[in-house]
Amino acid sequence: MKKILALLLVALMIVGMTACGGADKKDPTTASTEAPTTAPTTKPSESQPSESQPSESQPAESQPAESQPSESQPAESQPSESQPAESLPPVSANTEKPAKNPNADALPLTIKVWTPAEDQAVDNNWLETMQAQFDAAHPEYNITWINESVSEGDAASMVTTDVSAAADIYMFANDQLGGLITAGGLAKQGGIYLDQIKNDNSQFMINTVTHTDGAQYAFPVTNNTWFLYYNKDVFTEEDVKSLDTMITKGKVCIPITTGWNAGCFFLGCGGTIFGEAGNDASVGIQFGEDHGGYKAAKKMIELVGNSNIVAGGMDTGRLIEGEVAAVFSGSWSAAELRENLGDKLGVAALPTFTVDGETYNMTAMSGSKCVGVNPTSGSVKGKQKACTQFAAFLASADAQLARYAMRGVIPAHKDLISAVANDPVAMAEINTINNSAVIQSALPQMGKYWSPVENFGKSVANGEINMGNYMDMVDQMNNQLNAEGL
Amino acid sequence: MAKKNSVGSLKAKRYTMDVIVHTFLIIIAIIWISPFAYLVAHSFRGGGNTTMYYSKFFPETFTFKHYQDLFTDKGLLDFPQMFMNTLKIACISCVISTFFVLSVSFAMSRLKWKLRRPYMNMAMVITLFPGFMSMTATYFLLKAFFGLDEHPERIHMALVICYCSGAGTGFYVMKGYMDTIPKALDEAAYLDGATKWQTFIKITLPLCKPMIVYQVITSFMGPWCDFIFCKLICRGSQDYYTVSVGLWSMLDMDKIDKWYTRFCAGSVMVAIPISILFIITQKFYQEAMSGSVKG
Repeated sequence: MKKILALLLVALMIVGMTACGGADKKDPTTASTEAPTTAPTTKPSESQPSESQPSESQPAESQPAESQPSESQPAESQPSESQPAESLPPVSANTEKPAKNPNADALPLTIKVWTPAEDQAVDNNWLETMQAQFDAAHPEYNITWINESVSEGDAASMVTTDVSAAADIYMFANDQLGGLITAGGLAKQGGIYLDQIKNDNSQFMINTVTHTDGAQYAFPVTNNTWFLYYNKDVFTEEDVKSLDTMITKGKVCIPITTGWNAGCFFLGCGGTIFGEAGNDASVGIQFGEDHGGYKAAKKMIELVGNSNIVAGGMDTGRLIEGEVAAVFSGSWSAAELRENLGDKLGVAALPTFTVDGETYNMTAMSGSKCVGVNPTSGSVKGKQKACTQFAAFLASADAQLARYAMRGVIPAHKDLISAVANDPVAMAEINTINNSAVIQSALPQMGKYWSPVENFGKSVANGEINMGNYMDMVDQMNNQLNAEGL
Repeated sequence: MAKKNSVGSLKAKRYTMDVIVHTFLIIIAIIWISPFAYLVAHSFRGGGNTTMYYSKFFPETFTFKHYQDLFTDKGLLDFPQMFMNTLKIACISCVISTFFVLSVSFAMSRLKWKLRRPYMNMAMVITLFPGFMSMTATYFLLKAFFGLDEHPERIHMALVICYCSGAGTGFYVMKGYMDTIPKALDEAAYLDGATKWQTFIKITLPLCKPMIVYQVITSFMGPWCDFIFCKLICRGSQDYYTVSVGLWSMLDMDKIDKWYTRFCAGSVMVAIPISILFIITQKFYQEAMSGSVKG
């Protein structure tokens, strides 16, 4: 009896383990097995192509075949997977916000939007302002908006958990692009929308939303990089052009202990991450000797040995406390720093540094934050077109300018540079991207980048890597960066 | 002489031993308490620096401002609402899961039925797997049952179900305690004509009081501190956030410079209900932990 029981328990445990272990992978399949049950009503595969026809009618000739977003998905299971959740609900939620648009012919739609919470602050609601404008400009729709807050950094994990329940339009940081496309959560842009992306943005910004297949998948709305904040009492505008001049006059906190920043010297000396456009996996990450790796490491060790250098992260607190006279951080720190330092706060693009008599620019890994459309919105006729229109509207010059006015988010639109020319933070960010920036790659292989580089920076900061062993350590890091597998 | 000497050395030995042990304990205590001390101190940090970095362990000036901001500046994150959400969920889950645990323990301890032992073993095996292993499946099940996409107002109900439905498997400690209550008491009650329900309510429960307190505390703290399921089920619906998800989003890169001190204040606030509950029930808690009641 006991033996049988024990056997049973073991069997149960094995079953339990396989069931639980497989749970995560199973989800797409369980979701797609649901599809056939709802299929008769929604016609999963045919509905998409026929559905993109109406959108061709308006933008006319420039709309090529690739504007059918669902077609672009790599995994076959995705189109059918997108059906179940969206097929029944959208109309039922209409009670939440009564539609303002009395047009009888208007197409009723429910559109869910994810933006950072800051865009929806109660007294300063950029998103609702934009939605009101969009509603006014598009009487053909009767849209019920569902606005939820998901930060740009968090979007990919939220979308990929359950693509069909994710927002129809969402904002995300461009390094998530590859993962989102693989999960079938991002629609390819074409036609007038593609024209908008290409006309409104610099080549750098276009590259940030370009996948390995060469197509563009999202609308950039703002830059994402870091630059220099300094105390004007200590440094002059001339000083902050060179890091070596700066450390003769005051203390500087260099961010070499965080993965996002730690590569700045390597990138400055000629290191590359997956080629020029950041999407060529075969090239790999090149931080070795032949790409200036030794020089960069030498400079880092030299700097850490200097008494005017504090090795840390993006520690804006150090500047506020007056412990250092310059820190590196992104535009999100501007408001706090300005509040504390007032007129003394100076902002500049990343400075240069000199190694072995040669001068290089500190180089930031940069990207964009962009707005994308979820292809599962195609399950309701006409919805995907409306979603894409709204996404394009959020990325338009007017919307970016409004966001800048309301929240201080620096626009990415290339024609808006003149509008922000008086804002030192904006100019520092734009100059950093123009002069010295490397695209933050969206390739999945990018996952290998963070810890070796961060560990290298930390080891330099605590003295484990020194003049005696840096060559070996650079070689070791470079091997780790390009190691096969994970 | 020699005798006296040895006694003296023994005393000295004990004395030095005490010193060593106590120094060690003091060091451990300081290490253990310092994060909390840091958290509390920085929730009152004065001056303009609200970022994560601060040059000293203890702030130089103190202010109540961060608490004030946390409860009044509700434009971006509505902390009072999150607090009430969590309190609601935790209280409801606490009542339901305590009842579940008591009922299951009673059935296991007092009723004789065929599958009792196999069931107990099965429950043991199931509880060996941490709950979050099945979280993705749980999410899809709850989504299918409640249509959480279209009905975000059901999120809290889904969370309560999430926390309570598995509570019954955590009966082991409670059953052990009930086993120590003499069966004779039950039999006497049955002889007097009590039903099983009456025996459960009128005989067993009053005797289990200390243990119920322990159960209440643990079933309150689970939902109160849970992050994984809240994050998974709330997703973007900020109105339904619980404190753990809210506090986590304060550490977002865009917010951390401004919100870090408020995050500290919020973390201190989170500790308050648990502390109150613990202080109130401390007397019973000690009783429960100090051994069984012999009939």
